[in-house]
Amino acid sequence: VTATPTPVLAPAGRATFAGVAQAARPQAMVLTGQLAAGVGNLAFAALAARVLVPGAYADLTAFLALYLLLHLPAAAMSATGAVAPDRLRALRPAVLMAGGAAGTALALASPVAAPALGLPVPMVIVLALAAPGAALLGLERGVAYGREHHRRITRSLVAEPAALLAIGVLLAALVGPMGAAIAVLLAGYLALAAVRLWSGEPSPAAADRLCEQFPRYARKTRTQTTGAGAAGATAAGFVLIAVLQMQDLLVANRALDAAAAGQYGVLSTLGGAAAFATATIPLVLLPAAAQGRRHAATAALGLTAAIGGAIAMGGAVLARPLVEIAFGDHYAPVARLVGPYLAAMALIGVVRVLVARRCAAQAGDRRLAVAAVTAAVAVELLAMSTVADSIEALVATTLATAAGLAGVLALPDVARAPAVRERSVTLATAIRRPEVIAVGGLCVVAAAVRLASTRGLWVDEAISVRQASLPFGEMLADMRTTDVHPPLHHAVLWVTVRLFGTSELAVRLPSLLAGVALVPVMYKAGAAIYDRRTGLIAAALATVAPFCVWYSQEARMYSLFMLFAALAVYAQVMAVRRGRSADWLLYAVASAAMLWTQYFAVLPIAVQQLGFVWVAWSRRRDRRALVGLVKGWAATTALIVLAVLPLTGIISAQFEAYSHRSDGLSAPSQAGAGSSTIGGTISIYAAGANLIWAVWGYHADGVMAQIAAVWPLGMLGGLLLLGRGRRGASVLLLALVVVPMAALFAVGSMKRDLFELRYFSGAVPVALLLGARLVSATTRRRGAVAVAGVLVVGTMAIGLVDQQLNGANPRRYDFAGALDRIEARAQPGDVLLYEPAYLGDVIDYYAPDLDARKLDAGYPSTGGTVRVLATDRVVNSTESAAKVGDVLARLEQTRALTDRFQRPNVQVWELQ
Amino acid sequence: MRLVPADERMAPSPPPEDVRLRPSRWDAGPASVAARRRAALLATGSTLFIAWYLTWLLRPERVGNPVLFGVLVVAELFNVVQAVGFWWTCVVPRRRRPNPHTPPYGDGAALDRHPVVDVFIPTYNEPVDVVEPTVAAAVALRGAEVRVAVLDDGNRSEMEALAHRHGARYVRRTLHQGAKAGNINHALARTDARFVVVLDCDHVPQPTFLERTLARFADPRVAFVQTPQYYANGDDPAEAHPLATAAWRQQALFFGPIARGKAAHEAMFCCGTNVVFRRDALESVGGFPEASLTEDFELSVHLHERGWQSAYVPEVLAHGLGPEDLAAYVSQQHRWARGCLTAIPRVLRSRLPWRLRAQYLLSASYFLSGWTVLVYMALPVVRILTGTQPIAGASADSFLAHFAPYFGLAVATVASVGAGTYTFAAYSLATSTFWIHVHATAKAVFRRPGRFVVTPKEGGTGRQLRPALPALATATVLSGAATWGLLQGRDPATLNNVAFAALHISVLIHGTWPAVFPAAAVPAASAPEEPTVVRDPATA
Repeated sequence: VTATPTPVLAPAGRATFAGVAQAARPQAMVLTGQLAAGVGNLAFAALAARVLVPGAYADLTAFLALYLLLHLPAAAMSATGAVAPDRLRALRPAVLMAGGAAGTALALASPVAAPALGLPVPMVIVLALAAPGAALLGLERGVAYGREHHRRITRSLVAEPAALLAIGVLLAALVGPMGAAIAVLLAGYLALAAVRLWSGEPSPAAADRLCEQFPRYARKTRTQTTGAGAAGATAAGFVLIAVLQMQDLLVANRALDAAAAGQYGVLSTLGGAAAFATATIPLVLLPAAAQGRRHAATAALGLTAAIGGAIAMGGAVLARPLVEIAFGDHYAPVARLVGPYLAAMALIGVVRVLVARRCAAQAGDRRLAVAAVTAAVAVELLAMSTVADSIEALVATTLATAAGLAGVLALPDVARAPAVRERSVTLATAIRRPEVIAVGGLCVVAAAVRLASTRGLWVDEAISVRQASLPFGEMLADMRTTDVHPPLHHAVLWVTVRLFGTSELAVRLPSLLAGVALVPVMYKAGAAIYDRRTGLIAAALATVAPFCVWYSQEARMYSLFMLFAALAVYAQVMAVRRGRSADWLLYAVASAAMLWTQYFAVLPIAVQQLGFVWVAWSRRRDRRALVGLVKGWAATTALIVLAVLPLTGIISAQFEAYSHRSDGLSAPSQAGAGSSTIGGTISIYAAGANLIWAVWGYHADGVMAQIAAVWPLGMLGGLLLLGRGRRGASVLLLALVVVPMAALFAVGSMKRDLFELRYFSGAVPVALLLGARLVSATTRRRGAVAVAGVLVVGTMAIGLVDQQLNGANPRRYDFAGALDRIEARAQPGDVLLYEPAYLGDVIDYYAPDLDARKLDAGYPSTGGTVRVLATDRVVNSTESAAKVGDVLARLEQTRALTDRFQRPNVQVWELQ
Repeated sequence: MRLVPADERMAPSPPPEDVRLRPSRWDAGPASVAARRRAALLATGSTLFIAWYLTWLLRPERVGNPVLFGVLVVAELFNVVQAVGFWWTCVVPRRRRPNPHTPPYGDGAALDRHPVVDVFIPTYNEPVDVVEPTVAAAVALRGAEVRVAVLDDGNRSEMEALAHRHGARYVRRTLHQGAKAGNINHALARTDARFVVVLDCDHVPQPTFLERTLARFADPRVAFVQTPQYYANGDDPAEAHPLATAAWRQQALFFGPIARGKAAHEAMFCCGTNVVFRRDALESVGGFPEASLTEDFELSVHLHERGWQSAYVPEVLAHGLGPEDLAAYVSQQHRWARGCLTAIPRVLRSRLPWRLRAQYLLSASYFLSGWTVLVYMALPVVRILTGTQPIAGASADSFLAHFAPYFGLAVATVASVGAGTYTFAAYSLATSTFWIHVHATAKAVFRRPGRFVVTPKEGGTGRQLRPALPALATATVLSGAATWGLLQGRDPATLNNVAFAALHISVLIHGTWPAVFPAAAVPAASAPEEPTVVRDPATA
């Protein structure tokens, strides 16, 4: 055996696709075996359940659980063997003796152990017979991993379920659980034989002989002898990871009540399956990493992340049917947490690979790995013991621990990569640039401002959350029949709900992130179209723009719409200017995403297409430039059309449902729209109100009237534009603001509610870009530009404060506050009547336990408190107010009005 | 042989000291077909929205306070007439297209091969270094036999030396009457060339000046050919002289689309410099009228009355200096306003065709527009202080719906017709000196004698509060009224008037800023990263 120096971590370098693919081949082979084993074992269990009577099947499952327990030390041994096969192989006699001794002891104790284990004595004896085989199987597989005999391992992995399916089901049917147990025993020894014998590869003994005769063969096939430190660290690392993987279940059993612990057990079972799927990957990696093969780790990490991610996503998508079918309907509530928990298990899979990689390297890396995992185990245990009092908290802790540990283990690798080193130099230079610091600071401010939400969910958000809580297919079906929006935001929200639950912050997270991302996009767009100064002003405006902040705090699609709109403008300008494929692609993706987010995006997209026509016309004498433009334009247009084609079915269904919907008035109408109208008709003040909303946000009607009254200052803006010249991009931006607004103004004359800023919210970032340009081009003096910028940002900040804090803001609905108070006072038998009918979802969100009914759904004639909840909009509407008044009058005939309170835009009457 | 170091070879040559010797950055030529179509479209839209606004405004139920309403209507109608006249001048189809490729002497019968041209450079008190480049350039004019005469009303020996130094004739008078007109008439009597060029002493002609202008005299009806009065110090990219820049932007609008339009209407009038006369035409009207402060304007009326025609060459053929401080600007504008307003009765009495008469009236009456500014500024003050307002029976929504399109399109039309030359600085300077029109009107009405004051060619260096005082006083009144209004209440109606006051205050302060803070000139180094006017949509 040739000893080589202890390897360092695989030399960092740019991974090539061919190299990674080659390194992934053995992984894929073993992984196939592992997945086949998983599926085969599952199939055997399912078939056994069908051929055995329930009691017998229970015996078999108990036997299988003990059999798996028996193999746990064997799995740790496999990991040790993978990094130090020769050392492990030398332990074969000892392992055999230990296994034999354990088996003998168990057999001798079977009369006593059987009742304790809940098994018949013969089955315990079978279990005892399996003990030496289990120990040897772990050892031999470990050695095979270490020597990279992947075909052997695969064969061994497949042999076991194959044997079970071939004879296990038959024996179970003929003999019962004892027969099935014997089949399990035989299958284990068959797997041992498969890894020891029946291979085109030389057996370990033959390999030893070959190595002695041909040293080159030794170099090719054998790993170097790794010291005891590596083996010990690997064993310790893998045991600790197993603890990390299991301890949450132990804590859950202690901390949660029985029902919740049972639900957590469901999660743990599914998580165990996910962890099982990638369990072989680090074992295949270990010897390759020990030899310093640089693509092995990349392939292992990639496979682990891909499989883990796919399982997490698939699990999240299919959680409800999976849980209901596999575990029963009463476990359905935990389905929403399947996604996050599987994500945590996927991360633990990644951790296992990272630990394996470090354990195969230098002592320092090993120490780091073991220390990191030890710390993670301790931190998780501490966190779970102190703060985890619910399933959600336990899942969140597990997820956070796994993510943090993966990050800690990956960080040194990332820092060592030459590409990262090169980039880090550039990055270090870049982050010192004032504008990068400024934009970074603005992002922090934007995040802080958006996190400081001052309102609860309103009707539309609650509807979205209810839809996103449905299974994916049901959500789409619901959207087809009851909604008027495309499904991208709902799809994002659907995933978010499964990952993070349905708290206010969680459901608003996509909008929040889009709102923060808008800030750097605005900088890029401003800098690209005009100059860096304009970019910075645009970013500052987007940071505090009340409209942007408002929709960053709403679980609806408008924040995404604004982000995609800004991206599309930036990409179009860059595509026309540079013509790079990436620019065209970004334009196509952003445009398609816009359409998947909001149907009215067709208006800005049409304007942008006209922009292409214009540019093509201006290039008509430059054939080369024209051809380049037309190619990119045609390709992106085709991409957008292709991306939008799947929408046609949804659009058609929604349109049909909408046109057949007789109760159009029951849909939520535009809160605060009253402040934009005079006499309820569309007017120039409606346009003015939308402009005010776009720049200074939503305000009470009185404030709106005051802001609208200072319109003469708009004349100043118009005069300031005199002589400022005209860029093509400015004309495009102006058209992107004016055309959608004019189109919806025209449509709004027929259906008033459609002339509403949020439907053309994509125009807002564009308007902010133009505003930034107006500020930056007002004068050439930097100081004056700074003063003008501060003034504009200042007025917007004032608008933001008023929007967020003024309770008279007609867009603020404090359902949370009202329902909180109702819930606190509610007694069994109380009834909550609400008007309008579409408040059902928001009431379900905040007070699911209340007996809430529509106003016309009836109430107990006597007994119990009846509360009536209505929005101000209803109260202010003659017809609805009469309806509410009628019910209140009838209630007062049998009950007395005991309380009446108001929250912003919500009124509640309590009658006892 | 001495080798020049690379860096020395590569170094750009230092800019000329005198801005007048730099190449012009302005193109006075006709706009593109697309731009003309765009302007026509905007003008048509503006006209429609004017009608939309006036049909809303001129209704009995709109009358609030009758006096204020009457004043407002007069102001609005005046501005409407000015606006429509502006669009009519600039946007109507060209009736006569000047051919820039016409050979200088296309009509051999009408012009000599080598015509003799007298070049008059009248001067009074301007420094030698201002006049010398003009004289030097004049003697170097190509395309004719040039006889340069320095007409010195200041009787200065150094000017005589200057003239002799450049081979020019030096003419002085013993009796100084008729100001610049008298000076030119005096010289006319002592010269005999068939064509006469008049150059203000700060306007340095290009060598091609005569080649580009004399061609127009192939038409025997043409009495004079006018060229733009270009302010080289106002077209500085660094905007070293903000006031000259603003003044130049006003000039650019006039010598660009307006002058081209007037030429198309055969109504271009003489602007006193950078102009070539046919001596026969001048003699037919007895030379320059000496009783007027705007001798050039009245001379044009006389010539057109006699059936002569005028021509305009939209090319920068002479580089001059604009007023660099507010005092100089006020002096110039006051003279122009006074002269033009005084000429209105003369125009009304003239025997000109209606089209020419309308054009002259439009130009002369522009100097009444300061009154409308005064009205617009007074109305919010009156409303805030007394609660009285001109319009009643209309919601703010309704007013905005009818006024905003008119205002927006009017501004857009000016921007489009002016091709970006007319700036906010030009507007604010004109607005903040509204009082000049008021003062000039009073002088004209009460027939107070005027005095020809030569526009200073070099700016003052200190703070100029005196010429800015009327605007600052107005801003103070507006500020006081706005503050008072805000203290009284913040209802929408008050806020609306406060906003109007704030609009006027902003314009007034911006217009007077260069006079109050003269040191705030912008160094060239702080120019924006990119040029403001970019028309290539490909780089959009």
